[in-house]
Amino acid sequence: MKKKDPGEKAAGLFRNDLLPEEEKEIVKALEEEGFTSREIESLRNIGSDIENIFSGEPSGRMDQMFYSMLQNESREKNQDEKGSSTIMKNNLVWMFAAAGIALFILGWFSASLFQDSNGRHQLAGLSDEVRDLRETLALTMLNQSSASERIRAVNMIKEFDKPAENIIGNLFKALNTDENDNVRLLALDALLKYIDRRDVRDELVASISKQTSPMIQLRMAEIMTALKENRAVPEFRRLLDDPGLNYSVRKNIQDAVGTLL
Amino acid sequence: MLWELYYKDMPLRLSLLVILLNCFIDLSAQNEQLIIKPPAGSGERFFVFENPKGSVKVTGYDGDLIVVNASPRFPDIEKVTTAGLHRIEQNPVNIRAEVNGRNVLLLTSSDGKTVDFDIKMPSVFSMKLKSLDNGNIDVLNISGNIEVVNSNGNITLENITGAAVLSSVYGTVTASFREVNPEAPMMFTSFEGSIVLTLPAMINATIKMKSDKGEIYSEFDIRPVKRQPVMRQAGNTAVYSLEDWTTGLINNGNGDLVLKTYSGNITLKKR
Repeated sequence: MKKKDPGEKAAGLFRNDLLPEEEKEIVKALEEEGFTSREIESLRNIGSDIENIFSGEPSGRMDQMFYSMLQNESREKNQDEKGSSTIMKNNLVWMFAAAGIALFILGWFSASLFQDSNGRHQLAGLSDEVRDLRETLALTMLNQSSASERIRAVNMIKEFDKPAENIIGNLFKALNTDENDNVRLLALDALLKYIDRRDVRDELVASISKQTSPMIQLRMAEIMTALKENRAVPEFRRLLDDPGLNYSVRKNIQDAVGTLL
Repeated sequence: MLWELYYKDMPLRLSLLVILLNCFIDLSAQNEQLIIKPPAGSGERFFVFENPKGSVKVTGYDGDLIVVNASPRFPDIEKVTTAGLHRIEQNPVNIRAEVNGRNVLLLTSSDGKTVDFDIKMPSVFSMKLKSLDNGNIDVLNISGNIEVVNSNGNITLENITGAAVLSSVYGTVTASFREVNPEAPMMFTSFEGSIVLTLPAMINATIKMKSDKGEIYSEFDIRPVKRQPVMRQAGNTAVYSLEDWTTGLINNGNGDLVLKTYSGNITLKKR
């Protein structure tokens, strides 16, 4: 059997097709290069994430979303490539091609990583590429019509250490506008990770009066009380003005307002 | 003897009146039926239906067609006669279906009347169902991804293969799975109702649960996962606490399950 070089092994990690001893070896090498266990887990999952997201029939909305994100990426990186992406617009096969190219790039990065003397620099590049790809996948999934896929996207985002600004913006979009209460509830929980940021707290306070689900209204009352966030009081009063507000929620919000004042 | 009882006993008289009225309603009920040819071939097929008022029951069967039966729950019994004329009830329910690609969209309008839908469809179908008021949603013998929102009524899934995301506010959520798709996360919530989930005995799942006022019961042995610490800044004070979900592994863990209710109980059963 042909012995795999380190680059092949790293690519094998994305595809989850390594022998246990090969996996152990590559994980050890990545750890020695400074990769955290969470980053290594990200590498391990990326192949299956790509596979899963493209396993179903993509909706028109998802097609459009992924296309526009890919187009933005291409525009930023290479103005000359505009034409070629337009040709692919109406062909769903390009999505699979995009995933394949991404894996190829990751494989190429990792191959050169273990051969070049400049390994650490390449590692940083690889890590960035993986993060960008996972963020793009999460945003695409967050815009799918299936609630299960959107829940998967929020779970994926929760694993990110330092997500891009648009990821947080999209979590707020989910919290305020998603048609499914369950997705909104999970988006709220995901946002709590960034609660110490002033801008996140501001937007969370502003989001209170937009919530119609008793489960989320109650959760908002718990969160704002725990944070001693008295700027939430006017927003809670707006909810209390609604005569149809659930009895238990009303009682909890009144208690929260009493505590915060 | 019976007549004496009839004249003396007001509740009995009322009961008999209700029985007679029900017979009349049943005889005058006007059902509507629509038959739809869904897309054929491989690939996930998706059915979408939102009932503004009333129940929805979807049953999977071996056939190829979608058969929709709509019945007004309280048919128009006001047959007023004026000068020998009696009013003819016009179409009480409008139903329309649109088949586009792999998607089937069922639309209805009933001018505020409560209409119950009984739908038979091929058993391999994914779906998104919603009832806005005055009804329950039941799904039986279906293989696919199922999404149900029913704020005011119960949700019941029986003999399901696949995955589900279910949400109610005041109703009980009950779901029984024959097989579960391990790739798809599932979530079940009800604000004031209980959640009863029946899963295959050999399922691998990571399960997160919370009932604020109720209890959690399980037939599965759930290995608890250590609660994660949380630190938050409250004013000038840093507050350290533990996350408030109960998390555990069933068998080897894997697929994500989330169950949450405010005042109901959570019950996990083995199939």
